[in-house]
Amino acid sequence: MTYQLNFSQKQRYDSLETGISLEVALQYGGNKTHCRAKIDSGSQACLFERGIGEFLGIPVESGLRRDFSTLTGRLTAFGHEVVLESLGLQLQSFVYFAESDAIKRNLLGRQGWLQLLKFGLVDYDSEIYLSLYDEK
Amino acid sequence: MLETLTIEDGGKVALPDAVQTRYGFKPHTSIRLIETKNGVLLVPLTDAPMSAALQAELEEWQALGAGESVNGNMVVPAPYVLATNLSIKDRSREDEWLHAHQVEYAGQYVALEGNRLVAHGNSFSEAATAARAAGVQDALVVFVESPDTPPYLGF
Repeated sequence: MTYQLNFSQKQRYDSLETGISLEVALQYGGNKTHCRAKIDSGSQACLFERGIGEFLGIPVESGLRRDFSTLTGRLTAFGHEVVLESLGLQLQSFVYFAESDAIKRNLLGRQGWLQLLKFGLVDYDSEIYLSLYDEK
Repeated sequence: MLETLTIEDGGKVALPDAVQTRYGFKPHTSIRLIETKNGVLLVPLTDAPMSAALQAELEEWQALGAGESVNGNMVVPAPYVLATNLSIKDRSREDEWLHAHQVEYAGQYVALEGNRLVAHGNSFSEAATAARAAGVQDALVVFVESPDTPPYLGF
């Protein structure tokens, strides 16, 4: 038996960079910025570094406080609703900003991103494929 | 946005200014209150019947279980789609710049537009604010890792 999926977007990523990163635009109120985030299907949520939240004018620690387990321990982050744009898709999403400013990486995880998507990956060709989950 | 509100006498709730602005809520605006499995939605009311888009969005809320709940209370709203098929900017020249200057700017944040360094600094805000001051609104701001940084293995 074979299965077939159709996607509306295809994008190449930089194979020389560690992990698989996408450009992400985050918007909060009238502020917007562009950064990069690594795709992490093993992550329950989307996580961004604290400095991005602060640049956007988000009172980071007023958000929903959650502890997350990681490969090496725990980290605390605060959740806020933002507009998240990547690969031509703009979502109103709930994402987290790390409490510690030592976190310098950003993650696109399930809640707030993958949850709404149909996602394909061909790492050999450095290509990802994307559609909304219910897009024909 | 996640904010705790208090219901006042008579069932009145004061919505935050940012929410009122975003959804066009003005004084004396009629709204439609829609109950979901885990709470209620407030939607500006017009004379038109419920649009297909709103109907579809409501179905998404139901299908997705409307986010994450803790102790039976919905605390994290499910995402919803604002726009699709937006243009995607080619960032290959930013990638080329990063590869060429990784050693030089390791440990710093850089704001790039094409193969041009717009600003750099020791924090995201420093680089992004300088880029904005330079009139570049869509600069890509990234932290430049040292070439000696071990490969990424998740957090």
